[in-house]
Amino acid sequence: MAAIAFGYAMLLFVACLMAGLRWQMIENGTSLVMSQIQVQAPGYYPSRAVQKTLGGRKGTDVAAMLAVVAANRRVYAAAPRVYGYGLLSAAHRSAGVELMGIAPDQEPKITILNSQITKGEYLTERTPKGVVLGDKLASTIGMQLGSEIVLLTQAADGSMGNDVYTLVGIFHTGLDSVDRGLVLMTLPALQDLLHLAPARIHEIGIKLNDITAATTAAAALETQLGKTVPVRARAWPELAPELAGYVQFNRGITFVLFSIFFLMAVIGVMNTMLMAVFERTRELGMLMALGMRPAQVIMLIMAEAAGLAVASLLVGAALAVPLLWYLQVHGLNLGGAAGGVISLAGIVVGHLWYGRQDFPAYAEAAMGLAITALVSALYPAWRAAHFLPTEAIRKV
Amino acid sequence: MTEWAVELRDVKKTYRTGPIEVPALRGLSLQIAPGEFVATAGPSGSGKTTLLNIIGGLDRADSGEIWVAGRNLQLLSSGDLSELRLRRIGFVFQTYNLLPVLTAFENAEFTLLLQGMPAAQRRARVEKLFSEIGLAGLENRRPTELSGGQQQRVAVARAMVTEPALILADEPTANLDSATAIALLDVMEHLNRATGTTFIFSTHDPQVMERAHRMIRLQDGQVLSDETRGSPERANVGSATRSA
Repeated sequence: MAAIAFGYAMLLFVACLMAGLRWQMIENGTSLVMSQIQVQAPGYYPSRAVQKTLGGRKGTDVAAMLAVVAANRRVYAAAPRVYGYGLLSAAHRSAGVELMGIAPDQEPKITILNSQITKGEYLTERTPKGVVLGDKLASTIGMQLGSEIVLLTQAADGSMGNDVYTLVGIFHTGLDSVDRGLVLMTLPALQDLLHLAPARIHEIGIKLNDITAATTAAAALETQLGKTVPVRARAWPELAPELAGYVQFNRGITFVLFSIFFLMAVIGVMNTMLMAVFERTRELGMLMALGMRPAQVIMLIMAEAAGLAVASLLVGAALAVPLLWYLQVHGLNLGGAAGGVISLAGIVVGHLWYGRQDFPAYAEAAMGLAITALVSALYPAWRAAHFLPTEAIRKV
Repeated sequence: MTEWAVELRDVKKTYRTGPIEVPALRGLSLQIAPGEFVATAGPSGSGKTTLLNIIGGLDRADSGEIWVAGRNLQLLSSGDLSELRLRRIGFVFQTYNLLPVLTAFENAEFTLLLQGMPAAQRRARVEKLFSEIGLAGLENRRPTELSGGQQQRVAVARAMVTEPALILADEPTANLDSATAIALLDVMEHLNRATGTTFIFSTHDPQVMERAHRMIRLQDGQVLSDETRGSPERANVGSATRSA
């Protein structure tokens, strides 16, 4: 019983930890800047040509499109975005940067960059000429809060767009490419810089209620929005194939770890069942002497195995509950070993490794162990049913 | 053929342990009539226990015929033997072999449970039997809370409760003191007379031998002597023959 219970507790522990890592990777990978689904004009991705806006040169009714997206029951929130590439100059230094125009009141509902501000403040409608950028970029160029910045870019109409902005906030994400290369500004400010009309945006970023439904939701939204303007909706596995690859990798590792613990549990269970039967050989022989049929002996042992499995799984689950709770609430602190921030596959996962409840995996593990217990009991049950009662009774 | 409760014809049984062969029964033949109260005696290794095990279908003979309740046990499957034991044969073991987790009542009704008898009938039958053999009031005790004599009486009740045609008892008094052994024999003899159930038991105990209505002595797997004493009806119809 202890073998099954302990094996099940270990399986729950592994499943919880690996699901937590998977979840943290997906959550952090999508919530920092990318979002879970991006709706763009067909052909915009991956070239990201400035003129390829939703609805073409005429643009689209952004508010109406957002309303359609928000009406979808799977959608938690959506926000419009504009992108550009340009040269940032301040004092005597300059750097190539990616420009991202956002709606300050809507973007924080789908991404968390607003919570990464370490100096100054996030963008607001009150600071239309304000920009926010990463600490490494600020340090490289030698900027401080309030510094004037010149942005130079190629506008959608082929002309040069340039203007002066003020640094209002500095963020730190821990992800080098973001901290060194991203500049946030308000949507109207970037549209103005790129000579785009207010109706022209590049993207609607979307956060879902359930991220696991991202691919399905993207397909549905593409069909739905495509009735008005041609769109292409991509879910995070398509937008970040390296992240999707990591998730697959994580599942592979989980499977291997699961298999190892499962094998250990199986050996324990088989041993337990064999011992349980052979230790009771005399008793079983006596029952057969009294008239218990071989089929009844098999049923008795199988019923006992089933009972043992259920009881053991309950004990295992009870053992695991506090462990799973701790993993989910407090996480494993890896800070000591990793120095605070860990980046995996280009994604920040933080120094705390949180667990996440993976009930389908728990159910699969329980089912697997229960079946193992029953299968393991088959051979000793068959053996016991074929004992000669005299031989069985003689055993002590 | 069916007039005998038990009939053995030239039964042979040899136990093998690696290259070593130990003959236990060497062509044994005997007949036991319904209602007989028979003791088998003999030194260790004479074949007493083997004989009982083979009559009860707990073990298989190497050759010969074993007829019990009109059926040749050699031709029966394991399942059919189980069914025969459940319906027609009761066993009393030297070491009682009660299930320790069950009460005296539950131990006694266990075979009825295997038969699928309804609870009310089981209860009535066990209570009646307990009352007859002096176990009333001990129903809820577990084996560890009973004396050796009481445990053996529960074992007799378990054997008798299905109203079998034949009871096989392997040294039933071996672990009991004299007084308790006599009390147990009283119970068994009473049941033999009251129900007509055939009793065959093995023993080393002279006082048990004295109580038997028929005494079969075994030696080296063969019948050494077969003596019928004052016995209930039909006890004198049985006979045994030594094989050549």
